[in-house]
Amino acid sequence: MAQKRVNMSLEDNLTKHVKFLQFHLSLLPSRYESYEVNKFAIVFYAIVSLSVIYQDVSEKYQSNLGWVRSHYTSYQVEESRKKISGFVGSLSAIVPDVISITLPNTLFGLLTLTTLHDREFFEKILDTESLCNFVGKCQLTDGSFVSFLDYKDGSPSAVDSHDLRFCYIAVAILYIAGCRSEKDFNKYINVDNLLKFIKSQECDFGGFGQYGEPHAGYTSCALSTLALLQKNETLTTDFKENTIEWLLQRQLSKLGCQKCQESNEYYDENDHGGFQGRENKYADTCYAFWCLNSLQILRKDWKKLCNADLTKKYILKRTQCTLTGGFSKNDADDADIYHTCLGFAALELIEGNFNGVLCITKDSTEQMGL
Amino acid sequence: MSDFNVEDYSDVTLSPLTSDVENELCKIMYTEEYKQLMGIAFTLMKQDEFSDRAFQLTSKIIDIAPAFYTIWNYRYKILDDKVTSCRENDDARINLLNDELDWLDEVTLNNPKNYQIWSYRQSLLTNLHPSPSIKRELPILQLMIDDDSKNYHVWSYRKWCIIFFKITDFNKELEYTNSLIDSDIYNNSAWNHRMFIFKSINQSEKLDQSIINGEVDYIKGKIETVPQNISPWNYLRGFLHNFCHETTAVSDLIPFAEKFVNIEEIQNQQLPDIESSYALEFLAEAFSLDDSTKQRAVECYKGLATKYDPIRENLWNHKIELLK
Repeated sequence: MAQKRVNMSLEDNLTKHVKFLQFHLSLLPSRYESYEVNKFAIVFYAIVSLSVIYQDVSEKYQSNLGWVRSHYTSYQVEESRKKISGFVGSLSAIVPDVISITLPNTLFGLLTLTTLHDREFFEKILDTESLCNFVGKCQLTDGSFVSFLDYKDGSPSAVDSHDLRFCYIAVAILYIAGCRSEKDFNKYINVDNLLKFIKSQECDFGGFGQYGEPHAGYTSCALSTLALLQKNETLTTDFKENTIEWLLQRQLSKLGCQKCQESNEYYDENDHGGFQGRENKYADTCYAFWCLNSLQILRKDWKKLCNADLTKKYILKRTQCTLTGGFSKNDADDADIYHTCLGFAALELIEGNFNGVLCITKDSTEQMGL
Repeated sequence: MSDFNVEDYSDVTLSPLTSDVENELCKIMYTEEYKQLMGIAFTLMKQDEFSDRAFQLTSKIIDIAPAFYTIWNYRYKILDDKVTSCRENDDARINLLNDELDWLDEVTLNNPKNYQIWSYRQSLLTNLHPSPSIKRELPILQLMIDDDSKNYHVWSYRKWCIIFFKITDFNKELEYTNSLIDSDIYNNSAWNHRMFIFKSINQSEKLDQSIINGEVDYIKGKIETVPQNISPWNYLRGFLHNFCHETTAVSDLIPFAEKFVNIEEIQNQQLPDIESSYALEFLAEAFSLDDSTKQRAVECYKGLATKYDPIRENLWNHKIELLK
C-alpha cells in the first residue's frame, strides 16, 4: 500500500479526498458518539478542506447555513446581568439555562460561516457585544483563558485547563468580531495580563510551551495571538532568532549526520522533510502546519529559510492516503479529519494561498474583509 | 457506592435533545442510551440536583463522552456540595476526595489523551481536598509515563505537582529523570524535566560549583554515549546559559566538542566524516563569541550547510550572514 503513494500528486486523488471529506459531513455511525458535543470541529475541518479544493464551497453548502447558524446561542448571566453568546458544538447541548457554549466551538462556528461567506450572519444575526462579553468572561486573573464557563453562574469553569490554545482562540474570536486596536481588545479582555501570560510561556532557547518545554503547537498559538494583537514587537530580537532556529530544527532529515541515530526509537528516515512538534519525536502532518505557520509569522521571507519543497513532498507522498482519501498523522495511521485539514492547510500555506493565523483560505479572509 | 441503574431516574422528565433539524451536517447517529442519559443530565443540572444518583450519572456519561466538558463541571459541583455538607468531618472529606481520585485514576488510564482529566485533578487538589499528598499522585504519573514516556500533559502535571506540593527533595526528582534518560537517552521531556529541577533548586539556593561541575560531567557522559542527540546538546547549552558564566563556560567546552569533530580538517574545508553535527553547531556558536575566531565559525557553518546538515542549508547560510 505504501508504494502506491509514490508519484501520486494531490490532483490524482482529489475525488477520493472529496469523498473522504463529504463522508464526515454526512451521516456518521454511532462510534463517533463521543465527538457529538464537539462536532463543530469536524464540520470546520471538513469545510475548510473543501474550500481548498473548491472555488464555490459557499454555494454548495448554502442550504446548510441555517443549521450552522442554529448553533449560535445566547444566555443572560444572572449576576452580571450581561448577555453572552457563542456556539455550542452540538444542538443536543442547547438546553435553556444551562450555559454550554465554548471558545473552540465558537471559533469553529465563526470560521465555518466565514468560509461559507455568510454575510447575513455577520451583519444581522451575530451580536458582537455579547460574543465579546463571553470571551472576556473566560479570562483568568493571570491573563490566560479557560474554554468554557460554569454552566450555571457563568464564572470561568473551575475544572478546565488554561493555556495558550485558549488564549489564541479567545483573541481570534475578538478579531473576527472586529477588534483591531489595543483599545478594541481592552474593552473585553486585559491585554497586558495576556501578554504577561504569553511571555511566561517563552522557553530558554526559543519556542513556547509549558514549564520550559517548547512545543510547536503552543508556539503557533502564541505567535498567532501576538500577530492578531499586533504585538510581535514585544518579543526580543534574540528570542525571535532563537525561535526561528528552533522551528527550523524541527524539520527532519536523513542527510549528513542526522542519519547516525540508529538507536533513536523515534528516528525514521522516511520522515525526511516533515516536521516534528518537539525534539526527538516523529514527524507528523499537523506539525508541518504549526511550524510553518509560526515561521511565516516571524519572517516575511520564511520560504528562503526552510526547505518547504521537501515538506510538500513529505505530506504528498507519506501522509496522503491514496486509498481512502484524506491525510494521516504519519504513515503508520489511517487518515483522520484533523490531520486532513492541517495537511491541506500546510500545503496551501506553502503555495501562499492560506491565512495561517486564522487557519482559513486567503480567499475567505479577502471575501469577508478579515 | 451502588452501580448506575437507569430505574433510579424514572421520575426525571427527559430534557429533549434538539435533533432532526433540516439540512444537518455531520449527523452522528447517537444511540438511544446516549439520548436518554443526556436528557436526564440536563434536567438534573437545571434543577441543581446534587444527589448521589446525579453523581453516578456523571460517571456513566463520562464513560461514553469523556470530552463533554459540562458534565465534568457538573460532577465537580456535586462533589463540592458533598464536601461542604461534611465540612465538620475531616475524615469524611478526605475519604470522599480519595475515592474521587481513585475513580479519576481509572478514567485517566482509559482516556490517556483526554485533557479534562488533568485540570479536573488540579481543581480537586487545589480547591477541595483537605490534605492532598504527592504520594497519592506518583502512582498514576508512573503508569502514564510507562504508557507514553513523552506524554506532554503528564510531564506538565508532574511539574505542576512539584510547585503545588512545594517539593524540596529534588534529588529524588533528579534520580527519576536519570532513570528515564537511562532507558531512553533521547527522551527530551526527561531532559527538560531535569532543567526544571535545577531551576527550582537554584531558586531556593544558588547552585553550588561542585553540583555544576558534576552536572556538566553528567551531560558530557551522555553525549559521549550518543553524540548525535539534540536533547543533551540543547540541555548543555541551557545549563551553561542558566547557571554558569556562559561565554567562559562555552569556551572551556571547546576541546570536549572537538572530540566529535575533526575541526582542523573542517577549517581546511576538507569535510571529513564526523560524529555529531550538534558538536559542530556548538563549536560554531563558541567561535562566534569572539571576533578572533569568527572565521572559524564561518567554516563550521559552511560544513553544516554543505555536508553535515544540508537540509538546513539556508539556516546555516543565514547564520553566516549574521556574523558579517
